[in-house]
Amino acid sequence: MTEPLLRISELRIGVRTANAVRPLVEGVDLAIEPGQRAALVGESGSGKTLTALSVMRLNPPPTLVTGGRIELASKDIATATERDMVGLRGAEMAMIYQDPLSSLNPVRTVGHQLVEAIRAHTTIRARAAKRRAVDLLGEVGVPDPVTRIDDYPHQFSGGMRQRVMIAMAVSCSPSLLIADEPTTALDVTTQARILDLLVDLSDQRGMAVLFITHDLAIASGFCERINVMRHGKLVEHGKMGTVLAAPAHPYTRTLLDAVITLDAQPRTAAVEPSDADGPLVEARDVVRTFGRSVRAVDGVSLSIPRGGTFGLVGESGSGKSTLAGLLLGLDRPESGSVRFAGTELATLSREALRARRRHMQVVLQDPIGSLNRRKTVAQIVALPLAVHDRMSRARRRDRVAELLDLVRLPKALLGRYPRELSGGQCQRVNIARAIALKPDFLVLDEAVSAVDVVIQAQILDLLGDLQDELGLTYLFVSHDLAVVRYMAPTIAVMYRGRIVEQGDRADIFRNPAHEYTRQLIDAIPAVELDGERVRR
Amino acid sequence: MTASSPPVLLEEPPALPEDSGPGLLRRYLTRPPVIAALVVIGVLVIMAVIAPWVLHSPTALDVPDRFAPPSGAHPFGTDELGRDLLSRVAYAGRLSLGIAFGATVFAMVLGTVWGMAAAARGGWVDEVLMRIAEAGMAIPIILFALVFVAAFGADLVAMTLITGFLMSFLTARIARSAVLSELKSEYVHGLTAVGVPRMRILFGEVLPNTLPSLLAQSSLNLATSVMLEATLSFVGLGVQPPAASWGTMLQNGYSHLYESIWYPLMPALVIVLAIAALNTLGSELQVVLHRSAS
Repeated sequence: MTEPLLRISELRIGVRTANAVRPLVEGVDLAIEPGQRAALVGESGSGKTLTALSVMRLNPPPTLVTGGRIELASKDIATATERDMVGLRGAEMAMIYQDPLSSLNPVRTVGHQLVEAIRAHTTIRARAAKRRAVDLLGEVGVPDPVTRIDDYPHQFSGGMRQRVMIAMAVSCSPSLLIADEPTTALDVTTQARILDLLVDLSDQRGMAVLFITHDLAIASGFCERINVMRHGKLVEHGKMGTVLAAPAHPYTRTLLDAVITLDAQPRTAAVEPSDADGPLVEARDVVRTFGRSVRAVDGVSLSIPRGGTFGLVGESGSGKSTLAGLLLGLDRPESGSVRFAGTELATLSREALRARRRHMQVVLQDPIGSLNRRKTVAQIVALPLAVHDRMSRARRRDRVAELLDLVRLPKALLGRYPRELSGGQCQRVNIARAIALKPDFLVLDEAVSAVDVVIQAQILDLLGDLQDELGLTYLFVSHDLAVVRYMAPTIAVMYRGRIVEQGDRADIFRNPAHEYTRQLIDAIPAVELDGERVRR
Repeated sequence: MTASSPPVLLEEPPALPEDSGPGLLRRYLTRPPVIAALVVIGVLVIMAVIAPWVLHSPTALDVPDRFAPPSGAHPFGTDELGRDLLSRVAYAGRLSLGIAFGATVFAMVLGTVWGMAAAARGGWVDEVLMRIAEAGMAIPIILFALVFVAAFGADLVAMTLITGFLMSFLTARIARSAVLSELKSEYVHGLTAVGVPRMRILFGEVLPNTLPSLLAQSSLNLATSVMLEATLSFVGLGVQPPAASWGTMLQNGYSHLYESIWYPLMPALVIVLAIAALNTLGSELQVVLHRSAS
């Protein structure tokens, strides 16, 4: 066995509070050999990022390493001076993050930042460094690097920005790259391309990668070894194939079950949707433009039957959310018509539209951000009742309790503020508020995109049950085709403001008509074992 | 994905963050600078309130003892007519602090409505309201006050409203940016979709969320208005004799600088202390709020 490049033993990390140190990471052991790709998998809050940051000795105060050893190429990180660390960071190990925009300086060109990174660890001249920067941009797949090098971060798309970050990270040929959820903020198709790039770079340069993610499917195709973390402890580790074939810890199994692959049996609604009284929601040739040139929604027509689930899939910026806003009457189309239960929304007065809102509700992407941080759960869920229904205080309290039951939240949370809840719990509160008025139509706008895979699976279960119990009609909006396929029998694929394909999910997957749909399907990560898809 | 969830799936509520909710106030009130500032303000206010019962009359003359330095009988010394300076400072505090408080409340109400209207309506309403605020801030305060005092006189109510009005420009700008950033957040979008009326969102949800930053600003406003009142009174545009504020006392003391250094020093000291304490309260509140936000 070769000497490991990175060896973490018995690592303990705590957070300093007023009078004690509360443990966050308790005894993590991990080893990565040179050139190896290892995954660190776990839910948010499990301590995986903190572990990674400690390797760089960048864990933010008031967190501190309270025990254990971290060795990089047999050098002890704990005893290294800050000057040693500056030499190590970038040159020996580098890190990329989830949000490439906030990791880049917005007022400097990417070329400037790349050159700065290169010259921090080498003595080459500015001109040579710039040539190297151009080469690097080309290597990470930025088209036309000679001109793009003088562009600013905001002129790049999310995927391209992440490529720039990667170029910067590998600029001094580190032997270890720490990738902290590098694709979580990206579209599925972009994610697939970034992962390919990382594999290539790692193979060509013999660079080891510590890949942090909450998604087992992504890790499975990318890494040779897996380490599963939960509540600050390492619960399972080993060769990817061995662990996936026979997970020893129940949590690993949970993670595996939570992955929605193309082989998953789609959910079927208990009640068949009916078109007897005409569609519940209907859009005809809807157009909405922003400014002079951006046609966010460009002639879209669709119809959603009562009790059905309509899946809308597309990348960010494809116009999905704009379309959802139009269907909800939150925004008005320039031309075309939107009908809800037979009524043309554009003809309604502001008051009439507001009264109608009780029948159509929305759950948004950011679970915590869509709740007012200064209101308690009880106040948040009661608000729509107070606005639309005249009912006694006691009656309202009962209804709030009932709603919490429906979304399976314990009543103990009634007095809590959003920041005192987990992401999944917040999303349940959002759902409770949305169904408080017994709506007919619920728009789920990326409602499960910001939560961990395991939580996503639970929320999807909950949404399914609610539909069966309450007879809800869903518009399920997501960038994740596998999730849309799981939830919705009818799917529309949106691309650049247009619906390029629409129909039954089985048909779409069997023979996708549009090139973009094919890309989406190919990009869905599957749980893989030695390159073979594992059927589950 | 299975319907039966193993127990390991259960989502546990995260531990309560130590710095949540009510802790904010406690953390603010236990900061040493805040305690010191509260003591200073407390002493000044209590002095102003209890002055009639425990101190000399501010108008009692003791001509032989004029321009006396601080002593047991007159802790702050006496003025040109032998009146007790401590007592006069305490009584003047009633005017100075009263005007400052009234002006701050007026500035808060006017500025918040002003800024909120601009943020909520947007478009040309926003443009017009904000250009007015900027124009107001661009004109020198003394010049502004001169015009107002000439127009409305310098009685107490006028003084309060003028001072408040002068401060409402900045408050409006701050209120506008606070409301704007709230309006951009996703929860406002969510509430609109729920069907909550716009006014209810603005006053029931957005306004309470902007209060902390507005409170920090109003504490700074209090400090500014103490200084504004002192400035205006010092140059003779403010409180008119025989009423006395800290500013008029400073003015009188200044003209007797060579008879008694204590006469101008004492009101000046009180003004400096009050402004420093109020500024501390405001900036410390901003520090605490900023920490809790990050």
